[in-house]
Amino acid sequence: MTAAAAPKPAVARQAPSDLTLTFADGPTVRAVAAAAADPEWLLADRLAALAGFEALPIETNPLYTSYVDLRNARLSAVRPLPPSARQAAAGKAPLPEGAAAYAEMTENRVTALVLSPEARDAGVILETLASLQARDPELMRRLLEGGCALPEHDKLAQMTRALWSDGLLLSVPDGVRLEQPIVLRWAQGAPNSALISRTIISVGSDAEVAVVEEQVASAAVAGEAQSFFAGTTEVQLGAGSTLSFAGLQDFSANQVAFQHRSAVLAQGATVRWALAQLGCRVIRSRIDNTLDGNGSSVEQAEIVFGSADQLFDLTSYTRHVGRDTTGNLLSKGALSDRSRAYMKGLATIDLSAHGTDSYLGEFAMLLSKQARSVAIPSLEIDQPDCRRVAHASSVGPIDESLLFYLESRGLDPDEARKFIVLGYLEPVVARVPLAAAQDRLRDLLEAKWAASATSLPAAVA
Amino acid sequence: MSDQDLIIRDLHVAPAAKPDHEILKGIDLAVGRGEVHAIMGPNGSGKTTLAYALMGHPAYVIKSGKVLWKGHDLLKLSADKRARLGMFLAFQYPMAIPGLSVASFLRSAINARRSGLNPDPAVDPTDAFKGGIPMGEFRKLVREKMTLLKMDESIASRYVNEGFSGGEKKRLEMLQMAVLEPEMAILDETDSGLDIDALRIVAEGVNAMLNPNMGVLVITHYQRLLNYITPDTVHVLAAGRIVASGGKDLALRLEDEGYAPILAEAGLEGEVGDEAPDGATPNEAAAPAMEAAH
Ligand SMILES: Nc1ncnc2c1ncn2[C@@H]1O[C@H](COP(=O)(O)OP(=O)(O)OP(=O)(O)O)[C@@H](O)[C@H]1O
Ligand SMILES: [Mg+2]
Repeated sequence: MTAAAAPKPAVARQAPSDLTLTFADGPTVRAVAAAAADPEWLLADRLAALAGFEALPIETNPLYTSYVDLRNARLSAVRPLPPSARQAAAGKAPLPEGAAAYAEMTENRVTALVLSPEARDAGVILETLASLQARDPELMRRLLEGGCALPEHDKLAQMTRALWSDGLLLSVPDGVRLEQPIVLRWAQGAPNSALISRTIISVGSDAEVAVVEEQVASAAVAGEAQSFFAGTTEVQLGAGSTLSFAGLQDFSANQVAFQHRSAVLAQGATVRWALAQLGCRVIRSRIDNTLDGNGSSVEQAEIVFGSADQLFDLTSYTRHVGRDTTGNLLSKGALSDRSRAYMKGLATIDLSAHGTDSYLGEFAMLLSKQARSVAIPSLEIDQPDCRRVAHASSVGPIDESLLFYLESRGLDPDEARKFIVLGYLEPVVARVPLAAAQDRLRDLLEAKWAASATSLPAAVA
Repeated sequence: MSDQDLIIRDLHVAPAAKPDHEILKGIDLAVGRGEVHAIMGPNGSGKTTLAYALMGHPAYVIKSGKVLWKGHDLLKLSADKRARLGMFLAFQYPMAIPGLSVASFLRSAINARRSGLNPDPAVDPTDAFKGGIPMGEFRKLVREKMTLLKMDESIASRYVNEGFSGGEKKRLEMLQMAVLEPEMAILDETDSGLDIDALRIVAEGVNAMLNPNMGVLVITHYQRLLNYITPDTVHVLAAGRIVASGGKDLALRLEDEGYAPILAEAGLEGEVGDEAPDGATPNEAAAPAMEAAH
């Protein structure tokens, strides 16, 4: 008789919608809350969010359910980083040239937190949520309880709300207009670590501020094991205020990141998002704009430059509530190798939203035969009395006739492609409000181009 | 005839998408250095196709025939190589390149042109520190040519043709020609879309560029341009063939009589009039945007 064959090591097959996180549970939530000495209401808030997380499917919008793919997010060994030292290492890092304030988080440590004297004198606050809790527990509760503007029906947003352990508050008082931008920098990448954070931005009436957020790989990136980032940007804009927010994501190829950005706008307020997605193995980003106030507006421009087998899963929801609101949203992807981008956008025009102007454009340029992109712009219109409601999308290779135009001037095919692709992404680069960050983004795009160009189809001799 | 002349022999060209549908059905033409040839012909007769085929547009296939220039079998060279050899095409419908400034485009084009057929790999025209035209010389050259064409210097920082008016696009084509100093220039309806003053300025600019080393092929619908740029020879292209050639007075005759008598002489009445809708070039047809408005 033959002995029973040794059982094959079970290679768990991961379905596209499987979220392999193993720590999103009650005990972890309680441990996080205990470590931070959370007040009672905050623990309750976390547990409510956890219940939401457990009850919700990964995608609630039926239009998008076939465009979820978390198979390359292998997060079962990932564990939350222990709570941060929570003390700002103030003064350690200098203020970057041209910035009004600077916060830097490395893994779970606050490695810089500085404000310029002008910003401090104007009453601008940039602090960790831990120090907010110590300084003004009532304000903390007002800002966070109930999930702020995080989408209620989003499983991953609720996970972040349940498990966050680090966070920042940026508050700009009424009427303060900062000339110089505020720089926020996240460096993460320790193998099998998870950093879960919330960033709250409160812009007072008639205030104006620009933020540059950089998300980069830390020095701890090593080997094949992935690391996990989940972070929010939760913005409240007072009447007549303006926020220009540039986000530059260049995490390592071992990173999985879930981003949630939300803005709620009062009358006459404006938010401008300029977002560049370059890094990560799998990145899921969701933006929620709520145009509550009459005459409020959002300008959103997002670019993706993909290579290798990166997946960019981008969704934006824009809700027009007030009268005469404006939404101008543009997503552009350039995809090489086997990279993929899902670009999903929904603009909702409420019955109250007379005079809406809403545009949604999603475009992708495929630079290799294996690259893929899906663009799904859609509209829900309850109020037909609009100034303009339009969407546009296209997915295709580089326009051959553009290439020919440049080649007819002597540019070699590779240089011509580079000009077209980087030029295609340039309008978003130009919106980054800090010269140094703009140059850095241009350099990153150039470097990424140089690294991925070899995989492009061979040029005609 | 010298081996420096542009010599086109029995050229047959079809769209790559419809390779059995020949647009050019046997073109024979020779343009010597220092000569100006005009090509006129009804809409859809194949003028732009000829220009594209000479420049190497990938949307067209050469079914048969030969093109020789400067001792090269031109059709074997890619478009960028033809340009670096000194061939230039002023487009009938110039393309917009979002995000690419006119200044960096011109700089790269000048560097490419000056590097010749086989560029030095150590020269990186996008990098100010790796060869290429020095910034000071570049600025001076562009300023000088903009003055010649009476152009506003502010366009240097704009994106190539993006948001340009029709006439501004044509003028930018001429600026490119002026800085690149081609040895064979094909002007495809450069006069269309220019106002009366702009036409004169552009034509005078082209005249200033004429030299004994450069051959010119001017595609036009209007004799007016030829008042400024005097052609040595005028050709009539119809239904994919050159059906008549003559001196400057041929253009005058066309202006008076229209195409019918000449086409009749060529036995072609029935075949023409398959008008291309204005703007329906392959370039625009290839634009992938799908627009939905509600
Ligand atoms: N890529 C293509 N695919 C299919 N048909 C084409 C293509 N390019 C040109 N054609 C057709 O070939 C014919 C000649 O076109 P071409 O653009 O060369 O004309 P043209 O003489 O320049 O006309 P115009 O005076 O209007 O500029 C037209 O009927 C046109 O529709
Ligand atoms: Mg034409």
